[in-house]
Amino acid sequence: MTAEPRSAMVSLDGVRKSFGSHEVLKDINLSVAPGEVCCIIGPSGSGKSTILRCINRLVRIDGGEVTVDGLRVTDPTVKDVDLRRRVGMVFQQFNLFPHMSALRNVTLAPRKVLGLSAAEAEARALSLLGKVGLAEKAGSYPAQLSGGQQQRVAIARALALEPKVMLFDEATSALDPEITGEVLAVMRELAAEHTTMICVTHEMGFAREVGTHVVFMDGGSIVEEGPPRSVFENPQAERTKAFLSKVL
Amino acid sequence: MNAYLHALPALLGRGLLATVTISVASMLIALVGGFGIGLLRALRNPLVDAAAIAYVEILRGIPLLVLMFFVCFGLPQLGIGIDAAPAAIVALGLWGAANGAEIVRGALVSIPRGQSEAGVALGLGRIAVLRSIVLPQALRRTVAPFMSLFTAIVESSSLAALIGVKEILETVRVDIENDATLWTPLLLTALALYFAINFPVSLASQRLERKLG
Repeated sequence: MTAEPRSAMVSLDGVRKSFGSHEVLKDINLSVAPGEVCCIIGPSGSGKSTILRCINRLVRIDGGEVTVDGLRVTDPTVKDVDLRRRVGMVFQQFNLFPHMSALRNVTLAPRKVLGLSAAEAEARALSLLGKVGLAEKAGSYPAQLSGGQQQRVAIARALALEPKVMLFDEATSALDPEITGEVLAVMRELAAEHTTMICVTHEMGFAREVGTHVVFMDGGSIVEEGPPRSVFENPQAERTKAFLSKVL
Repeated sequence: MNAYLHALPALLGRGLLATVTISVASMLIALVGGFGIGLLRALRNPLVDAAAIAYVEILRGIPLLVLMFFVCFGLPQLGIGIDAAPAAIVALGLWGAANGAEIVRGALVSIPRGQSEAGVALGLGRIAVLRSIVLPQALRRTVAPFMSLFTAIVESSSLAALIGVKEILETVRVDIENDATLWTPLLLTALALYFAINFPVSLASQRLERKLG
């Protein structure tokens, strides 16, 4: 039934978005294949996070189309929940629920959205917490966890709906440099398992080593994209060169 | 001394009972109404919002005493008969509900936006986000302001004296009119009674806050 010409997991076609008179996204075209790790880099305010938020309808686009696993976000018959269970999202500020234990943070969506039983949801949550190396912290509350641990719980929470694609919105930007590693390690592991990932990141090392595709954005447009090697080592656009010379 | 002891039974009996009844009933209206209106506003329906804002702004913008006069003396002229004590409860309750609604709304908006966003991104609906994520966190932040509102209600219940309800202040006033030497002892007693009602409210609030924290 889905006559997708390309086998894209996520595609953006001519996406436009403005906040008031400020045009945040100008005609964005992007295609992410299953298993791909797409890293979006660029200066602050270039529209990177907005791209992610358009994918799961946290932001409604003004024009163009976003397709996720065959579902079109502009299609009013596509329910929010059907879109969002396909898309896991990890936030810069973790956004864990402070009144719930790590375990309950992870079981909430499987129980409320998938209707799993408490036992099923807990089994799934414990296995995911184990995957991010925090099985023994299941009973801890967010305030009792370090930033890196909180973000790993948040990753487990986002994985709990078994999404088709994971969005990482500057997942390590709020962390002290010495603990970004533990979060990046989890992300590397997901990438190694061929999880489809779209990562807005300032971690150039991660983008270069783990990314299969790198997108450089500036001023609401994609300036340059391609395999990490070509973008990082042989950038074509002047703006890409200028940006990379500052951050590398 | 004799006159004072003679005046005490009415004060501690009927007067205290009337003050407590009016206060507690008004608190319940303020609590239920406040949560009702505050939660309705969380649904962000423009029509509901407009009605709630109008209610809150009007009720908070008029003097409580004038509202009480209106309910007690104005409504009967419009064909809605109401006794003095119920009128005091209605006025205090409506006023309390308006203030309670602002407390609840304020607590809800004080929860960082990232919290509801995380819930939405997980596929939860608006009601589920409110019930499972935002409200449990907001609840604790309503305790202290509701405590302030409750003590304000107890204190304001003395306005009911002015529409003739025989609560603490009105009971004292009648006795003082008969015997001016009772001014100091009876008013001190009245003050002690108001404190005796309010202090447990304050203690309960602290305990509840700890429990929800």
